[in-house]
Amino acid sequence: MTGPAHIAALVCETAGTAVVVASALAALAMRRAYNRLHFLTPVTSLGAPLIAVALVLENGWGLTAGLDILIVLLLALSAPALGAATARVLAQRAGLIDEDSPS
Amino acid sequence: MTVLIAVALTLVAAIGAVVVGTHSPERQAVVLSMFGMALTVLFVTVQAPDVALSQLGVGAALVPLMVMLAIRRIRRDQRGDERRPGKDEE
Amino acid sequence: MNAWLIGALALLAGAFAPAALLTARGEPTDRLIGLEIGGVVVVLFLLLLIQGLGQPSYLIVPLVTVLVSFAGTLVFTRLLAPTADER
Repeated sequence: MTGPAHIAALVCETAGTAVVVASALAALAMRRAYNRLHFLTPVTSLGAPLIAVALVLENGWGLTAGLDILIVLLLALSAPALGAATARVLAQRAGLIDEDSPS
Repeated sequence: MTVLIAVALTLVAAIGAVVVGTHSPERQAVVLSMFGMALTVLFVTVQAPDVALSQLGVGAALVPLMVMLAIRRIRRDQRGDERRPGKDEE
Repeated sequence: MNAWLIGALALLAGAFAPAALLTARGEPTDRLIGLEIGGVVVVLFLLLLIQGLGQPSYLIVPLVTVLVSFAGTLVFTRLLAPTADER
């Protein structure tokens, strides 16, 4: 279990975890909700793929790796929609846009 | 493993306390959803994935959303009563 | 404790706890952002935990978590939007 693939997997895992932890802490440090909303992006488009690469390197191509990739892909696809919907509600509640503005 | 279970249990306890300590029902629903997620984490950590699945469906999605629906409906009915007494919507 | 479980522990203590703290303060919409970050972090935590436990059959749990948290948060944004007679 000490081949180069295992080492690379550990490096990717460490980097991905570091990105996710840093983003969560940065979101906590921001004061305004609009600023916090931006920290969802690095988690889903940088941290999650790094973790997926680590899992694929560790497991090799197979059903497990495929399911890991599917989960991370769904995560990366759904996060922008969630961010946009949340930003819309924030703006509506702040009175910045009308309720019937296109979503 | 023991450390993971301990951290998960602590988080469940902390978020549960926050749910109880939150007064506004709208805010409580959001924290309740987070509490369901924490319980899911705990159940998978103690290797009970089927329990975690049911908890995910009920605790993290269904109950908070039904709470939100109920609050919204009650608010709307109250507002309707003030304006037009006896108005029966739908 | 292998490397995957240590990574999972780091995610749980370092990323899920801040997200939970975000859901504990402020307006309902502010808390919603914490819920979104928490949902993503839970999925990644479960991926690492399942790898560390060596139980790939558990992977159905993070898969369902992605779908449930996506649908749930979208419905939350619908219900938290102000209604027409509130303004």
